[in-house]
Amino acid sequence: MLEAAIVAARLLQYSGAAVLFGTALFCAFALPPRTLLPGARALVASGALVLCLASLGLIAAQASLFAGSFHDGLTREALAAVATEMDLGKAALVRAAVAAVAFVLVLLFASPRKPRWRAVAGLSAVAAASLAWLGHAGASVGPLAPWQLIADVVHVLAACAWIGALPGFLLLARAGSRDHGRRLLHRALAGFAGTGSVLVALLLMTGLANALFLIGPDHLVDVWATDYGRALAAKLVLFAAMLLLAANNRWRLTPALARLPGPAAAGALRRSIALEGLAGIGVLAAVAWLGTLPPPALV
Amino acid sequence: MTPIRTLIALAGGAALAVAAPALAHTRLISSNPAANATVKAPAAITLQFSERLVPTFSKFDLSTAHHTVVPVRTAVSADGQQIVGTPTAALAAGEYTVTWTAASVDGHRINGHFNFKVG
Repeated sequence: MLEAAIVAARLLQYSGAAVLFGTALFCAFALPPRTLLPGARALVASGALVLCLASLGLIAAQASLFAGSFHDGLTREALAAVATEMDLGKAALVRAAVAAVAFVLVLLFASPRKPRWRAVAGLSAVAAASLAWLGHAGASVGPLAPWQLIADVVHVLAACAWIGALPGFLLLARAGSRDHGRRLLHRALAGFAGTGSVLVALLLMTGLANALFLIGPDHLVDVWATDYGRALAAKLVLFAAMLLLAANNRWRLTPALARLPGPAAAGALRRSIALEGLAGIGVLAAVAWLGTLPPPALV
Repeated sequence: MTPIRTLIALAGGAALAVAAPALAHTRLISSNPAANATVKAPAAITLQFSERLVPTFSKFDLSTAHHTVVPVRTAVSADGQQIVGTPTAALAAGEYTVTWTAASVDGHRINGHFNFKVG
């Protein structure tokens, strides 16, 4: 029960951060010029709100786990101990505060112009980066610890940028008149291709580095028999599904939309992007679970 | 130890530190009384840990072989790496079990137990 509350709080934080940082980044950089994206403000604001509340919720869940029960954990003393004495609590408090500021900033937008989206994206990058302290890298010591944290920060930011761009594309597919919306969608998708490749490369490199740190060369074979290995396998399968869907979007569905910009091509893309988003949520769920399991290098 | 041996030991230690997995592993290093030791009634029971602990979540219970709880006041030391417990009355002869639980600053929760004998 306590473990489930922690996994839930972690999943909500990852999802909130992906929407807050990733979708704001999408609006700031991936949107064709002078495009207004209806619904983006509401979406990014909800991401900020979810991130803020889930970060506070995580402090409560961790306090309950450490104290042994919700009854003993939801006390002033236990909550203060997590929030002020533990690194993951301090990071959660910073994250909640930054997310709250981002929430207000997004709501105050009179007209969602790009410079303001850049400000939101910059601010929420801090909140997303602090998620690295939520994982095992935050608990590292030794000469390699800073590198592990840097790899984790890059990994989290790249993952949020990718997953958070997906709802942006879905909103864009509905924007404006139908023909106009399809043209915008095609332009944004074609423009995102290079960024997407960079994100995948970053994810693969930092993911590999993290795997070496957390699994260790001695456990590459026996890790798959543990819960940690099973959660990691689930994550990798879902990641591979995202890659396949993204490749299909890029090399088949996007060119098809350019050739024949009709409802069929746009619908196929929408369905494929939605599916990619679902796989993305699955990846985040696997990560939420992974963080509560002891990595083989620790055992 | 000769200077050369010290150097070799230091170099070996440094190599180990670099090669070891870069993960903190909070654990109980030692205790006084030690596990399974037979001692005279101790005024205090001390548990030494490898990392800094969060005082609110770090304590232990003391019980007899008949599972009777023995009152003990525990506190975490100033450096954060020890839990020190003082029995409120002198311990009578017999087997005792220390059941401890601790949370480290880096977010790990660990627990365990060990026995000692007063005799």
